[in-house]
Amino acid sequence: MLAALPILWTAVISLRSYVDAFSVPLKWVAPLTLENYRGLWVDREFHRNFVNTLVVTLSVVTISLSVGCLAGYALSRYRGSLGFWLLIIALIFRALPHSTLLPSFHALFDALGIRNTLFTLVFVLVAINQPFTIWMLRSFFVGIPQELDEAAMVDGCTRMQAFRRVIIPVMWPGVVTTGLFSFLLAYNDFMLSSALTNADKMTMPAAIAGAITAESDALLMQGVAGAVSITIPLIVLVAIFQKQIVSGLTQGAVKG
Amino acid sequence: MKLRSFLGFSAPSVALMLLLLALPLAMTAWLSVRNCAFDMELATVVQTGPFGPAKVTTQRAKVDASGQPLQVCSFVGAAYYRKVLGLEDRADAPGGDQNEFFGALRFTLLYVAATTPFVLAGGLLLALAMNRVTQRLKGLFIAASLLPFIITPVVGALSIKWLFRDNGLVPHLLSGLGIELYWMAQAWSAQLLVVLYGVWHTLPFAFIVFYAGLQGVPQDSLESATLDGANAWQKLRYVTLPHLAPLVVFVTLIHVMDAYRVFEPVVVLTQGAFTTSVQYLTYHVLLQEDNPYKASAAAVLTVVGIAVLLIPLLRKTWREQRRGG
Amino acid sequence: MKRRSLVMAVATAPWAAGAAAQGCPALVGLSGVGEINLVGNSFRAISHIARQTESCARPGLKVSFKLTPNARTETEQAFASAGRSPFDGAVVSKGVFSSLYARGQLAPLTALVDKHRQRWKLEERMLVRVEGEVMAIAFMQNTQSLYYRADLFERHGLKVPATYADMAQAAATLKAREPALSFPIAQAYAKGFDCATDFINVLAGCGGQVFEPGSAAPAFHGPAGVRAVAAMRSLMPHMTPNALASNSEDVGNQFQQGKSALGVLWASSATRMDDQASSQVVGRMQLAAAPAAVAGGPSSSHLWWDAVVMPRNAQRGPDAAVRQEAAFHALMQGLSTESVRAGNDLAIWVRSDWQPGRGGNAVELAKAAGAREWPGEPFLSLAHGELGKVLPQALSGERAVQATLDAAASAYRKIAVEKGFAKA
Repeated sequence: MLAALPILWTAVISLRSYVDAFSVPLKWVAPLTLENYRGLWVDREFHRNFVNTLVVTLSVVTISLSVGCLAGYALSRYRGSLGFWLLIIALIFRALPHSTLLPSFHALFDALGIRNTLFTLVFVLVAINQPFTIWMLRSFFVGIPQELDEAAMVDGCTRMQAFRRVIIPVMWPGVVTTGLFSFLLAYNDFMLSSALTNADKMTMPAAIAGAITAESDALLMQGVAGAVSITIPLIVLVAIFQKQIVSGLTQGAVKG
Repeated sequence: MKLRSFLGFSAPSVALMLLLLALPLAMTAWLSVRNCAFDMELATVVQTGPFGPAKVTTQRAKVDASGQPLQVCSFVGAAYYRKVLGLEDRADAPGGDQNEFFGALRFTLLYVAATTPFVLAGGLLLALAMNRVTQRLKGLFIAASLLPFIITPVVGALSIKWLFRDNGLVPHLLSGLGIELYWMAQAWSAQLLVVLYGVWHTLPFAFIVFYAGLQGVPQDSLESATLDGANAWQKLRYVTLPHLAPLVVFVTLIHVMDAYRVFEPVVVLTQGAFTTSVQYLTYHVLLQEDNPYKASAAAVLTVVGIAVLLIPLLRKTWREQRRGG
Repeated sequence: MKRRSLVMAVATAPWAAGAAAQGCPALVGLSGVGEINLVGNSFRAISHIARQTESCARPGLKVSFKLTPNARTETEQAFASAGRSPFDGAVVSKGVFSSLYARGQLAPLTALVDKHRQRWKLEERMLVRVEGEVMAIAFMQNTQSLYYRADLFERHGLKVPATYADMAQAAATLKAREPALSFPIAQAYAKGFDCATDFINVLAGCGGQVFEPGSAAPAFHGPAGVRAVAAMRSLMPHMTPNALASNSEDVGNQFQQGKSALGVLWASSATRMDDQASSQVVGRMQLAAAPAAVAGGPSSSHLWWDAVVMPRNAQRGPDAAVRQEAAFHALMQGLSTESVRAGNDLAIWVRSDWQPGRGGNAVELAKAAGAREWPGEPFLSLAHGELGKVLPQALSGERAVQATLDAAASAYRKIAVEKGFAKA
């Protein structure tokens, strides 16, 4: 299908050497080689970037969800105007282009000496993610009937205990879906990762940025291999979590 | 829920957002009216190297007692804004790269305007078509269609680049048809390519939302329309589309927000030649020109841009919400 | 100790193709350093050096060399950081060196050089001293030379072009008599670095200067500059229509594939012409000094060098000195005699025991023809950048030459003020 064509073609040429991948005239069948992958994963030590991505993504998802669930729950239960305003402000932040924060991040983190760390990147991504996360989680929590936690509180629980005992067991479907989108945002991020990290601290998308203006053929082909390497986990993800992704995309629309 | 609980629960999230979103934004505004530069002094030095000694008159930074270079920071007011907006240069040298922000804004808006109709129309058509596909293929179809949306934007843009670059698949096919086209070499094709990426990337999102919406079209309305003798087109126009209208607004809103932030295709496909976007401008000024102050000015202008763009839409939605309840 | 080195060599061999077998013995005894990070551009010669430096890895020490086309920006940012620099050393061109030095961001290497000079056989020619202090260690040099197809020139009785006018004439002749050569001239006019470099070269050939002597005020938009652009344009009818997107790699490819027969290119690419695997013109391309703009004028090229430098902000803390020393040794391993021997044909090395191959005398030829060293003003890169942005407009005829140069000069003036090189 047309949608998948660019990706399929990239996968095909990733298994060729430069001469065959971009030859004139184009070859439909060409010798296959794993050289690009080897060059990328071994010589360029892509496995470090992979580990970085893993660490960053998992941290972002965990922290994002923990913090977001609390806020989302609160927003679903609170009826005052403060909640409404928080949502509006979150929406505004969600529309904010990330690049507008970049100059001050750069200057600030550099001065504090924490620019080139995974720690900083994680928290930046969590913060950027929050508006979207709390919106999404809120609508899931709205779907959990208030009677549940109210009943628990009548029984003598505090709000927090009610949350822990009653809500947490049933919130997982919504949390999984939101977690997926959190994961996607952290995994796919390029602008912030490439600006805030260097060299071996980079995540995978930032690391293949060299392929964009590759002067050498080897670098270019390794970039192709990198692109495929980055995409394979995503394909697996879509295959497994297709339903959740679809429901995540639509629930925002349907519930406004 | 009591106010105290609310504050307690939402505190971590709000704190994060305040600290890492609101504060940096304020700081960007502060940076945009300042400039720091090294304090330079004229120096004549003797330099030796592979080609022998030479006496060079040059400039270098003044250093303090410990050998650290000195910087001088000052308030410059609207100077960088004027520079980014290209206001200063009317006198000296008109045209060219000087109107950086407006050029970036123009293309960004072009991108938004060009992608939105295709995304909406394409998504709708695809959703309607999907309705007819058999149940068993649907899962695979949806998964495949989702891919452009899920995939890392950098990777997606690179894939498109490798398809369209000189000696790539598409130029090869086109030359078979007799059309020789260097996609990245002229403005219209480069811009088209970026727009193409945008449509490719966002269409799945519209498709999924509309498809879900189609499932909820009230069947009895459809049936009574059929009884009234309406054909497929009329049914579409008078029953389905009005039902989908709020979804169209939703998709448009989200897409405009995201399209305004277009960045990866510009970086990957053209590196700023022929196409710049507002995000790319800030990024480029910060990292390539190494000027966080000018970049901050660009950033503030970007925020103004999105505010201007979104406020009418937001107000409309807000009023509807208030009315609708 | 010997056995240990042997084990190290065996262990690291698969990962360090072509590296010195000893595993960098200089680092024996330096422990607890952790990780050394280096950066450089992704050129072939630097890739070779990178592999050499990485062979210094051993238990407790990891050497990581980042190769990226964005090396200049990353190096400048890293060295300018108020915190600790992510890189402990970098390979830089002369232009970047000037800029870093002017900002006081380089660490003096005099002490380290004096201490280890014997062991690494550092020659005086390699040391870049400013006011006596060693600020960088140069390892390779370069220049732009005229490449021409000796066989075709001989066949048609053409003389080696000495001026740009000669080049255009030779190209016209070749095009008429060799139908296979539709674009006889290939030159790197790509927007940005390449066309600006070419312009500054030709400007020198026209007797012009980039700046007013002793100041940061631009002078490239004077009559010499206009002549320089005219000279560049005079070659374009004989070049591919895609010339304004051709960079050095593209030009090299065009020569290799026999598509072009004439052009000015980096001397270090000479060995590519004889690469059996990818070149179709093995043994047929010759080098000469880049032509002058006017008869009897200086050659339109400059002399370059690349060096290793270390940042002042490398590390604060107790083990800063040890780290610096380890980084120094790693870098020196990259420039060592073994490294040069292993990568002999990859660059025009500065070391006196380098065996010149093809194009080996290019630097001598250029010097003899009057080429000077690439200017060392720290604000040159600013002018270079502004020129690179707008020159294609003048080259393509889209905009008048004088207007384009004025625009570049005015843009440069503004950015020089921003950076503190000029007063408003």
